[in-house]
Amino acid sequence: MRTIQRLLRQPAAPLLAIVTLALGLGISTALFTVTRDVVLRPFPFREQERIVAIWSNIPEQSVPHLELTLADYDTISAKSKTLEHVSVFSAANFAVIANMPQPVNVKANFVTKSFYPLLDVRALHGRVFSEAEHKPGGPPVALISHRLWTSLFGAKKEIVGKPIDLEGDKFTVVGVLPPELNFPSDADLILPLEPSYNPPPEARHNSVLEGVARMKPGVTFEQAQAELNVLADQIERAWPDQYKGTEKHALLLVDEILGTTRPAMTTLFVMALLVLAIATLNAAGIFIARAVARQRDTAIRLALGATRGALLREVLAETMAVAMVATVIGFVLAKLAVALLVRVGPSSIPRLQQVSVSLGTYAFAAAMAIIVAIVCALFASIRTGGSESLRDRLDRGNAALRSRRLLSIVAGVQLGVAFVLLVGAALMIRSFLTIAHIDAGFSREHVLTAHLPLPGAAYGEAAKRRQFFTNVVERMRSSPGIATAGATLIRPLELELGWDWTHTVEGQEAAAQKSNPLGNLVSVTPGYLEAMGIPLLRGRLFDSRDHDKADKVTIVGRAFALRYFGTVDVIGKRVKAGKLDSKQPWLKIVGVVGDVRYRGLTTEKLDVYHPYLQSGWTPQYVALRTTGTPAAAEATLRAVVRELDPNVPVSSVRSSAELIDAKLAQPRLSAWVLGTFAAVALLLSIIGVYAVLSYAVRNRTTEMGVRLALGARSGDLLRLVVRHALLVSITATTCGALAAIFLTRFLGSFLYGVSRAEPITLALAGMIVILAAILGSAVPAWSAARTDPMVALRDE
Amino acid sequence: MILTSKLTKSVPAGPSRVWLLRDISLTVDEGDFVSITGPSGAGKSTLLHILGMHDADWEGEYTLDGNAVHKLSTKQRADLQRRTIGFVFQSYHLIDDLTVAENLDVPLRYRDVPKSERQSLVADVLDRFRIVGKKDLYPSQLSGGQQQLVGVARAVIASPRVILADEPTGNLHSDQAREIMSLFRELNRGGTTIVQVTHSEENAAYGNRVVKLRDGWMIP
Repeated sequence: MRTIQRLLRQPAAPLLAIVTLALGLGISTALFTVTRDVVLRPFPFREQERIVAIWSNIPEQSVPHLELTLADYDTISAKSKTLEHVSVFSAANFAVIANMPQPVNVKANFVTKSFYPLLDVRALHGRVFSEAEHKPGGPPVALISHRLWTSLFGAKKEIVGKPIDLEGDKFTVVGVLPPELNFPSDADLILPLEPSYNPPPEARHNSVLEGVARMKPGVTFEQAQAELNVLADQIERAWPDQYKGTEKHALLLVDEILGTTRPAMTTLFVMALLVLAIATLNAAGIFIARAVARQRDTAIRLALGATRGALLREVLAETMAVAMVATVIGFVLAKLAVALLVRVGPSSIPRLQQVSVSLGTYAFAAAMAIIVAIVCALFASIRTGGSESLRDRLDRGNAALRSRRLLSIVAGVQLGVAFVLLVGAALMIRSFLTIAHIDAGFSREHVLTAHLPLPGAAYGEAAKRRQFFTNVVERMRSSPGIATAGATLIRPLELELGWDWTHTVEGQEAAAQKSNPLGNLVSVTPGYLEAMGIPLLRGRLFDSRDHDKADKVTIVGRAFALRYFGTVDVIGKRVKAGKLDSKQPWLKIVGVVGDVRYRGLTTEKLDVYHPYLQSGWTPQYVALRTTGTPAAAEATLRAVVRELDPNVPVSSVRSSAELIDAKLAQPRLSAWVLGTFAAVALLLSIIGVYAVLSYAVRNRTTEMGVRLALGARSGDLLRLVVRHALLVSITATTCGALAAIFLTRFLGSFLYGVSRAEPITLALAGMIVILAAILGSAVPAWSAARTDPMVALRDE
Repeated sequence: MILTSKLTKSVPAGPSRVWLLRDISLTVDEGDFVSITGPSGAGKSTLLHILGMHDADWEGEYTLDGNAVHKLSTKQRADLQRRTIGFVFQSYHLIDDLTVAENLDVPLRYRDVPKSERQSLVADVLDRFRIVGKKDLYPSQLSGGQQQLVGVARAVIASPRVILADEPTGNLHSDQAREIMSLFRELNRGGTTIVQVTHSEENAAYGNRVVKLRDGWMIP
């Protein structure tokens, strides 16, 4: 109670300390929570450090990441001595549950028999697949995710054992997966791979399977990788045409799942700790100033018999009270910040939806607060309970000077940290702006796209699938509000993966062909390119002439034309699928269009369009050019599809602007988070500079009077204080620049189009920090300039 | 050099006012060495700070070096102060984080003296006051007497025509006090007008005139 009374007697400093600590604790707690739940919390797999993901690459063709083939799976699972439970799963497939009021499109995955034994995961309700269910001809069964169980089946246990209508076939739900398991690929429906996946011999070499396995006990990662190298050689020798130059690699599954999220989160967490460091220093500075201001009082109380322990306890009680209040406010701030992050965070961050501020987080915040309190109390007590004599303590001169220097260092460190955060934020923002200004290659306005996943049972034949999309496109073209319509195998910015197209340009020699990068294959109907607003540069677009009996033709992207011919005037040139000796027919280039960023805003590929009637790949998406707003066309599309086949769902309806914005979510979030950190750090630094200089001016009142007596003008005193701020901020900026050059190297993988430490960014951040310091010094400088010499020299 | 007429200062105290100085009419000629004495609370320091133009809240007339201070603006008073006055404090008031040489440089900076000239003037004064060896020391490294020596050096470095000294030896022991007072006499002999406030009769005797104050009145 006495502590609170003491704090309330002079509330400005404690309030400032509470604000500064609450902000620091709030942000660091929020980021700690996200880091813990996304990165640090173990995955629900047994011995996750022994589970590896397996993938291929082809260095000669600059293919960095390639899925496994069925032949890879068979070879590795049969021959590996270092790996057990070798499994594959096929990701990014979609299934349709039809026994709902409206057909529902869900993300499905097919897994092999060793998959769940490998993870050692049990079902929440029911069971995982049995051995028999993985055999060809086994009963049709499915597992559902906890999310689907709650959202679609009302979290009723009775669903276990019941059939669901999946693309026209009945599948029995044998189990509900636990809520924490969102692997593989965040799928809602899991099906056994073996009964359904029995490709013809030539398709056994299609790279469509993701591999996972467990390292046997005692096996090191290096041993597993060495064996994969041997197996890759064996696979290449067995099928030299298909696997020439293909390597096999293992990576810890956890690292594969977290990908760039881990360094991103770690970087953000370090930034959050820096903000907390600023807040701590700020609070410490405020308490030091408070302690020094009461130094004479403290000295007198010591002279009157108070013990140092008693004084230390008082200071500790005050700082603890401040820290506790700050913790409560910080906790509320953390909850708000986490809720915001979960809401606006991109779906590419794994497990983000499971993040929540917990008791553990509160314990972290409280621990931080207590550490902060102790640090502040110790700082303050050093100032009040040193070894000087009473006479020394009563003398304000040197002690005040030492305090000013210490506080200047504290303010300098704050400004330095703020500088580093500013540089990080500036780089992120510039990177985001660079990405945001990338021309995706298609129109942002008046385009609506949607996924129409056709149920496999009814549309098993390619001809049926083509006919369905032909019908949709024709009906949509004649619908009101639609300027034109088309369909495509894949829409831009849908996935980072796509249909890679190995190709040969007519006249190429074998050596040159080997270095051809993989093309990006897109099978489209006439009208698609127009609907998307992809510009025609030369030749013509696809039309009714390009049917399956006609001459084989293709349209290429600008980059493709320039890569091989150095010009866009390539009409009549020919390319074919496969390598030099491929028996595939030559395709005549009939048009050149603008490049489109299909696989990501920052990923450039060589686009190749095939007419859907001449391609082995059928469309999956429709693209509509609307005369009004894209949203208005959705109802028309749904009506048309329902009329054609009520079992086909219209899912993932996105305008072209939404496709682009979804890709901007991650860089936008990074820029926002870092920008917020930097702004908070800057705000705290301004408070810090203000606190330090206010203390310094108050402490130097007599000196100001003396300077006036020696001839100083008001402006001289103003300059004196501002110069102090400038000196501190310039020193901080210089040290901060060195730290930023070192620390921003960790941001490299998140940046696009900007280098890590550009002089302009450093200069801009430096200017902002210096301006912040001047802003922080404004009030103290003004009060210094208004010093009344008679008041200042009163003790004369 | 200094002429005051009916100089009065009061401060509010509740419904009435407390008079700190009453009708002070004082004349100090150029080259005078005047000692103002009197008991505590007599108004000595108040008068000195008014003469030093640290205090603008008074009534009456004050003329310094032919300039009617009571008619000047704040800026004009500050200019006049810079041109004319050097001030010595009882507690020395050297600036803690500046060296001796830097402390001496302060008044010159405020008078916009070019850097090369300032260096030369500082070197001259260090030499004249025989403190060259102390030029790089900080105030905390000096004795009280040495600090006040620097305080006096700082007051004279800009060649003021008047030095105002407020209890310049109040914090010094007698040997140091005598040294400082001898220095003042020497400066006075060099032509500088000096007005000092002192409690000490011995120190007052260094001057050629003594002005006595009591309860704000000048006692004839």
